[in-house]
Amino acid sequence: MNKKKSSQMKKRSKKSLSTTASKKKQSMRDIIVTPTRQQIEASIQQGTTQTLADFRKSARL
Amino acid sequence: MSRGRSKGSGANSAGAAPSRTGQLSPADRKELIDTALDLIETLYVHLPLKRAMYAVNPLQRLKLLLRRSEVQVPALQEREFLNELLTIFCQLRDLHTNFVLPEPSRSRFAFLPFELERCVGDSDEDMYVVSQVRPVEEANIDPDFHRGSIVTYWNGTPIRAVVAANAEREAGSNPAARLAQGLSALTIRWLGQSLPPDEEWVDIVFLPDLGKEPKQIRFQWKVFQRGQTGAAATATAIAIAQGKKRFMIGMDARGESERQIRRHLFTEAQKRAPHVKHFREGASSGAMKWAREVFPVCGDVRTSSGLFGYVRIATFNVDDDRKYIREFVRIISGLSQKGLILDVRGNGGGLILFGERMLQLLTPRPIDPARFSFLNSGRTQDLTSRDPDFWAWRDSIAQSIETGTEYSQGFPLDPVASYNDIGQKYQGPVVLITDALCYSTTDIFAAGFQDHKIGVILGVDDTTGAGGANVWEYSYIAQLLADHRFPIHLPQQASFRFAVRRVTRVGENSGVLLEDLGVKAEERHNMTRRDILERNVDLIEHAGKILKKSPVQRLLVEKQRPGTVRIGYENLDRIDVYLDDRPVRASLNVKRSSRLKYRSLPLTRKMSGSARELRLQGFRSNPQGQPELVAATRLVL
Repeated sequence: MNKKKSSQMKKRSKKSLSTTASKKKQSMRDIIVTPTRQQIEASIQQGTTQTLADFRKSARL
Repeated sequence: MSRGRSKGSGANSAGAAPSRTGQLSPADRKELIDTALDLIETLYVHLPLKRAMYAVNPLQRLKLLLRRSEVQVPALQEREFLNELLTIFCQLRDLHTNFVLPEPSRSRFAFLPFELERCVGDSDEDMYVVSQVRPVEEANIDPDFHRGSIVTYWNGTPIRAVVAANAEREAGSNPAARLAQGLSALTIRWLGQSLPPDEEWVDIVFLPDLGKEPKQIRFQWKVFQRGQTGAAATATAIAIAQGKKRFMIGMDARGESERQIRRHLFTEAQKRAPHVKHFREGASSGAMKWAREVFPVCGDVRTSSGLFGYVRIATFNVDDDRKYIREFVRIISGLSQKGLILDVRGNGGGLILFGERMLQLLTPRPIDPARFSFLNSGRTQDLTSRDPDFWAWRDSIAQSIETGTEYSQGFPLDPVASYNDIGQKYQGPVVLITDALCYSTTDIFAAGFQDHKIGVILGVDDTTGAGGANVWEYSYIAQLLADHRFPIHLPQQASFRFAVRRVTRVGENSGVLLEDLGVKAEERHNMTRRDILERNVDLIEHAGKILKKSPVQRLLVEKQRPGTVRIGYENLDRIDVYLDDRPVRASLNVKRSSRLKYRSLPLTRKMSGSARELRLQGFRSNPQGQPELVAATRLVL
């Protein structure tokens, strides 16, 4: 009975470790964003224009 | 190497959302300098070359900047700090290796509502001609300022001097590249890699047309900002290759960003481009809608030397090389087979595999891909041991402890078989048109074109832009390193790019560097005003004359009936037949003919066995009587 329990615990701990690793990997993937052509196109289409003077004021450059 | 780097602060460490705007704190500045110092010294593959070629010392300059940031009173202004960091990178004269400014600059582009191109006048003088004007602005400007107007002065200075001065500020490597970059940056600038122009407007003196009286006009600089929603707004990369291919990029990120914005700003102007007789763009020969950004112009062109195919390749920045290669094969199969003009001017590169795998479509010879080498250092040894894709380099870098060599052994980015998996698809002669804005993957493509003797390179500048490296985004490097000292997000979304594997050429140029040298054009064409106004009419005429001198040949194969294939041939003396890699029979001698002729070849099941592919190679004797491989084709069984 004890043996069975310990093997189950081992399995669970292995599973939880692999889940953590996979979650970590997933979160890395979420952080590093590689845009698609469609996303780039969309961001350009949503673009706006202002004068350089206005940009300077807002950017403090 | 330990520089006592501060551990990534909460806002910048992996997992936390980066803040979008704001000024850099002293700690942020230190973090940026520390990162640059570390990676330039241990990862930047061209550091020894740039030190020798341009007598620059970026490490010492970064250390001085760090010191000034820490002790100078009053503290360095944000603009001064960013300007110095940009200048340090700019002095490397490497469009691959750069510092990307934080927001609010990185999503913005300063632009003037027109474009300029350089050409040569009748008396061999340089002319700067307006090639496009934004139609939305046209209502507000002098109608005499239009396509074809000639700009002579810029803010009171002769235009040629302004372009030359601007060229010195740009990161282009050789003189032709710097001049081309200097001209390009005159009317559009990505603020992610350059500070806003000092002047808020420019006063221009121009001739409305040749022989007309000069006039003056004033233009305000404007700033275009990309939309701030969606993944592209937070993306750290300009390249769109995904997965493992993110590590196979060769691209001028600034040139590519500006190309994207220019395409948007001048869409309407391009639609109004004049219809010219020499272009025959048909629905059948055009690219599919999804591929038009890559192949914007395809069709047959009529010249005094004959009808030839023409394809413009605007960028190699794609997510997946395979589908674009399939589309290219489809396009060229619908064009004249008498000769092909490939125009890669202004192409800043992209996915290296895309450029290199395209070469096989144009030649019967097997492709020997370019070689890539890392700088030998503890950092590159660490990096290459972290992913099986880099293990080929790992052992070579480790060996350098004993050999003391500066660079690792060179290897192709992908197994050699992947550069030869399709084979020749266009058998006519090919001319490649280049300019000094061709960069990186396009440099590699042009070098492969020359090294495999595919055809003639016709340059509108003496050389290509000379970008010879594989470039990695900082965030990918940080991901590979998985080290808290290199947080994935740098302060305020600032970023870096580094050339990490340098390219060396193959064939007769084996071992020659691409960086700073570029690919020399075999023939030179001086752009004319007619080229700018009438869709490259003189340039295409020049390419046609080159194609006319080159022989045309064809070799076709198709299944005829069970047990037989039909072979079509033109202008060949001999055909060799292989099943997979084994010769089927002795060479088939054929009578050379300038017309396409056919003959049948028995190919029973017993002969083909388990072979998957029938390969044919066509030979023709050269003037010295030596047989030369001039055409090849394949048939999947």
